[in-house]
Amino acid sequence: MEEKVRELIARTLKKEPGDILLTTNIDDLAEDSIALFTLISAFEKEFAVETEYKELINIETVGDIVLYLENILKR
Amino acid sequence: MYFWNQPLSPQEVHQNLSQDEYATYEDLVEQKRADWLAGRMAAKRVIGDEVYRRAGRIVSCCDVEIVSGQKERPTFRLLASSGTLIPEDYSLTLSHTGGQAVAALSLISDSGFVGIDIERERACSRDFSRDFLTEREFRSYIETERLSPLSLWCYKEAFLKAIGTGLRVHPRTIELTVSDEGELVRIEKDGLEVSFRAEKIAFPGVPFGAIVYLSIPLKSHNL
Repeated sequence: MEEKVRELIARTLKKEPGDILLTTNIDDLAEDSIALFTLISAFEKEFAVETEYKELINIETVGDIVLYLENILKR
Repeated sequence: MYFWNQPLSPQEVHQNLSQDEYATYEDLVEQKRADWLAGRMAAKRVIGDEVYRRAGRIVSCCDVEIVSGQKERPTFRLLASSGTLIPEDYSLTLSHTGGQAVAALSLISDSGFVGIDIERERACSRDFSRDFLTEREFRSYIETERLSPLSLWCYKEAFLKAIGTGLRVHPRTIELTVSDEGELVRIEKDGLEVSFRAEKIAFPGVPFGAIVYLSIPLKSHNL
């Protein structure tokens, strides 16, 4: 999961995968709100999930995304 | 409303930020600094203007501290001339793009909560438009090429800031009706009409923007 998340972030935001660590803050990767929204939409399509937008307040790092996706895919 | 588009020298950065703000600035990744700084400067200026208007006092930028968590409404603290404005009485909003920023301040009892968004020109895919627009919006404005997706995005993001959620609410839960002149004439949130006032805004190099005032807090609409 961790590797897929990092690859998707790199592809969507045009970043070097090596710059994306579990501790990296998403706000440091996404240039602005459009980039952030595009990233959320990419995750929804890739993992066939629907994001609970109100839960985004708890997501700050790449690691938080991995945990969020693991949890949502278990439901 | 105050638009800021001037780069600052390292010395000016130091002079215009409070100690806490400077510490935050230093912690930012390099590519975020110009936007963050522009947002702070625009907000400090709009608050300084309001202090002058209300109390006739001049406050320097370093005496206005902008306080905001990553996902909270921004607010402010006056480090000098405190008491001239009560932060809780005001709604502050800011937006930045490409090292430029705009901020607006609204006295809640007069004009309600305010949200603002500006966007630089950029290519937007149809997938992006489909993702943030409702089916009706997509058919009415994108398929017919009546409006740029960025105009619609600005209205939606400004509204989400005015209600205090930002992107913690999906933009598709809002449906806009926009006139042929590009003016926002109706907002529905989860199918219920919202009372608002909105304007298109634009600045040199920033062709897309919107400011939305929410006349009544959203909970009063039972949404």
